[in-house]
Amino acid sequence: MDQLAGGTSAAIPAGDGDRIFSDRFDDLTQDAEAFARRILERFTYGARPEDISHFMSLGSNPAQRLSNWASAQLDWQSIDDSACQARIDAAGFQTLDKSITQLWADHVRGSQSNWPDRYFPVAETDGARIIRAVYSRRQLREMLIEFWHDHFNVAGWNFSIAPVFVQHDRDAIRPYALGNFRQMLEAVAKSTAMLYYLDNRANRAGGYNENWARELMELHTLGVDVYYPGAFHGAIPIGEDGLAVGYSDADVYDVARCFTGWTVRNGHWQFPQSPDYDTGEFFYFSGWHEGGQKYVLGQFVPMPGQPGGQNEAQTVMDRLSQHQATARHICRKLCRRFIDDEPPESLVESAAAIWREQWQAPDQIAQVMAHIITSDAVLQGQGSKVRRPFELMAACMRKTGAEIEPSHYDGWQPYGEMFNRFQQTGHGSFRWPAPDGYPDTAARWTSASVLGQSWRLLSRLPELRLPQDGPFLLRIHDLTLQALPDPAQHTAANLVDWWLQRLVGSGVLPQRRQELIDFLRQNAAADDTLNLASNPPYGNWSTGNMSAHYTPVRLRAMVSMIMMLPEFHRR
Amino acid sequence: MKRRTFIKSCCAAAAAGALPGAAWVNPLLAGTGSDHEVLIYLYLRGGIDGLHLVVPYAGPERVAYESRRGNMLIPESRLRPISSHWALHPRAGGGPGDPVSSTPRWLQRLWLENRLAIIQGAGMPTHLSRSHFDAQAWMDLGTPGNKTTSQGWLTRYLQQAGSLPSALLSNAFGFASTQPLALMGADQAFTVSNAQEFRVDGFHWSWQSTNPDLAGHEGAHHRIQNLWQSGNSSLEQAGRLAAEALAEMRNMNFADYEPDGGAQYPNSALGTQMRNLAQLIKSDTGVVVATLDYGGWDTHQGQGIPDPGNPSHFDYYGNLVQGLSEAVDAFYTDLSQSMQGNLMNRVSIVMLSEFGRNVTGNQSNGTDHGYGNVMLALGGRVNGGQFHGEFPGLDKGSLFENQDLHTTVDYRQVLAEALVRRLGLPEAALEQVFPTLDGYAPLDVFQS
Repeated sequence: MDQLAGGTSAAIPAGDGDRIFSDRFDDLTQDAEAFARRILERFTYGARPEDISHFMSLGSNPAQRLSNWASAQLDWQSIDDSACQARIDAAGFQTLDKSITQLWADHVRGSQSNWPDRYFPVAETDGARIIRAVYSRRQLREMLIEFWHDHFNVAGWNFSIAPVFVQHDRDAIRPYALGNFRQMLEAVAKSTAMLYYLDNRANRAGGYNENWARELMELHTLGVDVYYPGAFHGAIPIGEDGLAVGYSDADVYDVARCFTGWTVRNGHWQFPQSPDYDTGEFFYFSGWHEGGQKYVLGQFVPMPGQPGGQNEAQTVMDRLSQHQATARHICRKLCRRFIDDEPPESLVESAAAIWREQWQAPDQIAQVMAHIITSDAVLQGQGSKVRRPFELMAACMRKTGAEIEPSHYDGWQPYGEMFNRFQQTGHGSFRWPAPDGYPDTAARWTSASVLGQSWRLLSRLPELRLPQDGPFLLRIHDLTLQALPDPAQHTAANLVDWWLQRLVGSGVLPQRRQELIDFLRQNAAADDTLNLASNPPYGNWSTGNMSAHYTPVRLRAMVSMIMMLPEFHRR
Repeated sequence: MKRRTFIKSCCAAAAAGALPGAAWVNPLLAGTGSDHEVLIYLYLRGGIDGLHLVVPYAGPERVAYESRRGNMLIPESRLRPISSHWALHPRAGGGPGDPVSSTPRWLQRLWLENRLAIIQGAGMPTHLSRSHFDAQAWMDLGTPGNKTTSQGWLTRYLQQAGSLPSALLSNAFGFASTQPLALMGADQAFTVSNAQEFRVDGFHWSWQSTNPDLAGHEGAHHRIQNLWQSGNSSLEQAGRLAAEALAEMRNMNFADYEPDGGAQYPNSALGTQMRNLAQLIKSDTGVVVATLDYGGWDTHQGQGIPDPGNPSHFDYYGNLVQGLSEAVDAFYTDLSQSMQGNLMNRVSIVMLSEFGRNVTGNQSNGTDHGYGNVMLALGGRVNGGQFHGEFPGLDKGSLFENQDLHTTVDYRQVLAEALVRRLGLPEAALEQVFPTLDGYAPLDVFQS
């Protein structure tokens, strides 16, 4: 674990240096609100004051509140999310409810198959993703959906994938994000987007295509830690469950053979010449399946007496889903996502044990998450995570009461510019090109490029507004006046402190706070008030007195700067 | 062109102050005109099918090639021969509409001018992985078989380099959005995917940039560095570096740069990055190493067979080859015909990939993951126009695991030779850079 960032806190352990969060809560009752904030920052897209009060109402001590909060979030179907759904409905998206056959008919074969209509399915999924991150009350589920999109990454904006991406998100990822992995795996294997992305649609007898099979084992299930390079079936040890403890290239090739014929009804010339074979749906084409015995993880496929054909891939997915390496690999990734870049190995192991025991349970993933969230590691405040650019953007919007309806093709202002800047961070939605998904260790996205481009985005967000001098997306000015209605309250220190508390809570380094105050007050004295009321939302030119120069703008710029603080980058 | 052309002001650099960490960046000093060597590590992500780029043209290897290559075979008539037995993919020397007999351009031109060298059989002879992610990590970190090394091979070079020029920006640039593994642990390396748009420019104009006509006015973006002072977490160190990079890169006018020699960079991410890199070199900023990535080579499906002379023929692989060839050629032209002289005499580019691809294609007109591959080296001091290493052979007995090209050259030998012969690294320091390399065995790719 990394030595964490500097900061002041009541509970700094001796010798632990300056840390933003003490990360240790020796007395759990001492700073219950800080604990609530910490949990919510970690497991949601940003803690708002109302979220913190709600968390505080869930019990009489932190452990109880945490447990109750986790139970409620994991029972996501019981959370009324109609308000969020109403926003999505109001946004006028056209493709999110289309079946795969309709997507195919309209956006691959039909009149909407050219730019930009062809890309509406992925673009609208992106818009809905942001709306859900900001407004959904099922916050934990949305975090898990992001996790699984990375885990089963496809390049959403690819020409072949964009028109069918809705199906991947809606039918393969979202239903199972807190459900059962084996079921999700099968849905992903049959997702038209994935069949295109990793080429299994073209995997057929007499010259299999290994792309899907390799990533299935390396990334989606077993993990590369148990990869034994080499093209021959050989001496990989057999575990106590009777399966080989890892896989070789020979396993990759045989798994590819098992999946031959898992393809898409895309009108291929070798399929029967009928419209039924050009619908965009998954189907098993027995004419492309490679017969004969395969050998996977130390056992035959099919097993003697078992049927072959489509059943072979099912057998492979069963073996992979119950394998101990899969349990460890995925539980390590979950712990990395929610605890620390280097998660405690004991937690990985205990989570993996539940993962395996419950591999057929319909709520397998929810059970594992319950274990992780209520673990001692979380209760004791271990670990630290850095927000990725999407999480930064979503947190800015949540915490400033944003009113957004993002759309990719409605012109430059405000959403074209927002998406453009977001994409420049290198983290645009569904744009990671490689099958391993966006990396989840901070060193990979705290490069100068990602941070610089994130700040470029954050410098702009508070200025974005709807056309014709419409409302600002972030309601900084309004929230300020609501909270501090009396102009006498508008000293730079008051304004800075109110926004610091709202966006990051306590514990910001004093010199950083002073920097914000100095920028906001300019030449005003410490207890002078600033005039936010004159000519909003921008203010007036002032040659001789910088404290009166475009003051409402300066307030928004100060809030931008809070969003650029190290403290705000922590999750 | 002179550095002054590009530098508007140095006050931002001065404000940055000295930073803790490695000693190879001094933000207080401008470049010193040291004419230091530059090494560029251009990685072809995804596993380029080297056998599709450098193709047997005649002789026994052509016979073996024709017997094994399956539907990935390129007929002789569609290739651009560069020796009696070998040819280049036609798009390395011409556009889709150019017949193979047209005047050689790009990589083929550079081969004819003896500036481009081809290394056969390159890869990781000591270790095998057909995983993209492991193989790339091993190579970038310079420690085959170990992907948990804490520093990239270029990072270790920078630590061993001894005297590096004082850097106006940084001695090390990663042209990428995420931190390149080759520069892992190089705390002062600048990682920038888009140099031109690398600036905080979103504040309202009234408080965006300093207005010199207003006493006391200071642009909001100037404050970012102050917000990241203090604290020693890796996040805060990374943030300080980003803030410093923003402040200093702001002094470079990338948008208005005009290349020399009529060089025409393609309008692509790679083209833009190479143009920015050429400007950094010409501006004497002290850049010594740079990494670039050019991906898309994972051609499991629809790899494509060229049809030179037919401009409407779609060739996925050929388009990638042309994109690479044009960018590299423009960079070479720009620097070799610089007003400051032939700067390519101190610039070397190494191009490589994580593995080659299966010799026999699959049933989807693509190729699966393989093993041995080609590597390319380009520069004014490269022994170009010739092959290095040893082609591992396409006959059955020579193939690796009966299916892939074997390796005959450890890719680290080529990098090591560049470090020793071009960048002046003492041979004895190589074991620090490549700790598990078994002895230094230069191939004579680079001139001393």
